[in-house]
Amino acid sequence: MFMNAKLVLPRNKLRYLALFAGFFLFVAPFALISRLVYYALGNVAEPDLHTICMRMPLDWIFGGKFYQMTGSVMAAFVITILVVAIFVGPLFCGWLCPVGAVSEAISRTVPIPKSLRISIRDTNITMGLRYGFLAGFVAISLLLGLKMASSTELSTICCRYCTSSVLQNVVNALFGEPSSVEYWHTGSIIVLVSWLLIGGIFMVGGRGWCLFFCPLGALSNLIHKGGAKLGFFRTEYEPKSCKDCDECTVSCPMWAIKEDGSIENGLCINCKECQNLCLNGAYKFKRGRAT
Amino acid sequence: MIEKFRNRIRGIQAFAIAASSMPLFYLLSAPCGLSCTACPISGMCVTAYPVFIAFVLAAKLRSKLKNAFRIILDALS
Repeated sequence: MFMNAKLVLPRNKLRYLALFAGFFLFVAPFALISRLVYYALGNVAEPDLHTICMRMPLDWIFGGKFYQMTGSVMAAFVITILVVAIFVGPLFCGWLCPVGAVSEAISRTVPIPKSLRISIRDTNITMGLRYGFLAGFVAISLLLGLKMASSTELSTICCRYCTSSVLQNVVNALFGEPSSVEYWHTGSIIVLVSWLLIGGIFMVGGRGWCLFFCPLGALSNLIHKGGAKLGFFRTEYEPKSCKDCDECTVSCPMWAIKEDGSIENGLCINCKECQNLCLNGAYKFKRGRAT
Repeated sequence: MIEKFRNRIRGIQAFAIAASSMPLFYLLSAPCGLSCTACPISGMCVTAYPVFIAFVLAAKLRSKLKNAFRIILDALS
């Protein structure tokens, strides 16, 4: 595993640098993007990762609470991510997201045997699970939006299982501002274990949470799939150049490479791991109609 | 052709399972949104998680565990 890490790191260093920068751009006490936005708006509040929440706008959209989106920084941020996904794919997920970056980094650095790591080789099953969970998220948002299910226990689904919030609270604790004990007695423990332990350490690529439970990631990929069909930028497989070494399949953090080597755009985050690893140039980032 | 159809069916099955389990999990874990004391199992998930992970690891290491048991049994007999 460490041998692979040594091979991969120098080749995709731009991505690792971007993911590292993403942490400083979005997570407090740095939160440079949020600070910039607050400065531009003349807001004096102290920003954190929650300032540009990646989940609440989705809950508003699916729950029919469009009025909450007016003038919202979060909504503008999420809409920008989705618009970018049409033209160049879910670049935020692959290159900037601090949540995905942390779990991927943990997966690469914690030395557990490969035999203990879980992965699904059949992209149909991965796709089914991913979009099934998204459908569940939409259904719950819709039910809560229509007030068909409401009580004090049933808070909005986006806030119940929020990795961004957990990450921010962990970082706050590291910087000497620990959150209340009550916070760690709630669903946040479920999120922490599913995100970093099961989805991070025990899943190949360390992006189990992104694959199955991130609604923004699933929606971005759905849009990217449509954009790719229309001929916008995507990673494309060229079978003529492939030497069947299988390195790409092992390295893909999103399990997006099918058995025949082609890319499933509903899973690919354009991280370029396959392109950087393939010595024969079988994967290319390009646009235009599929040949 | 048949293989493609079979793969599609597998994908639909996975979709149906995920789509139905998400709301169920949301309802079951509703007390987690308040505190552990609000939960009927009073925070037993803290115990349940390691047990779940142990089961997954045991399943992944099934053959190695079988061999280990065989060696122990041989040594005892």
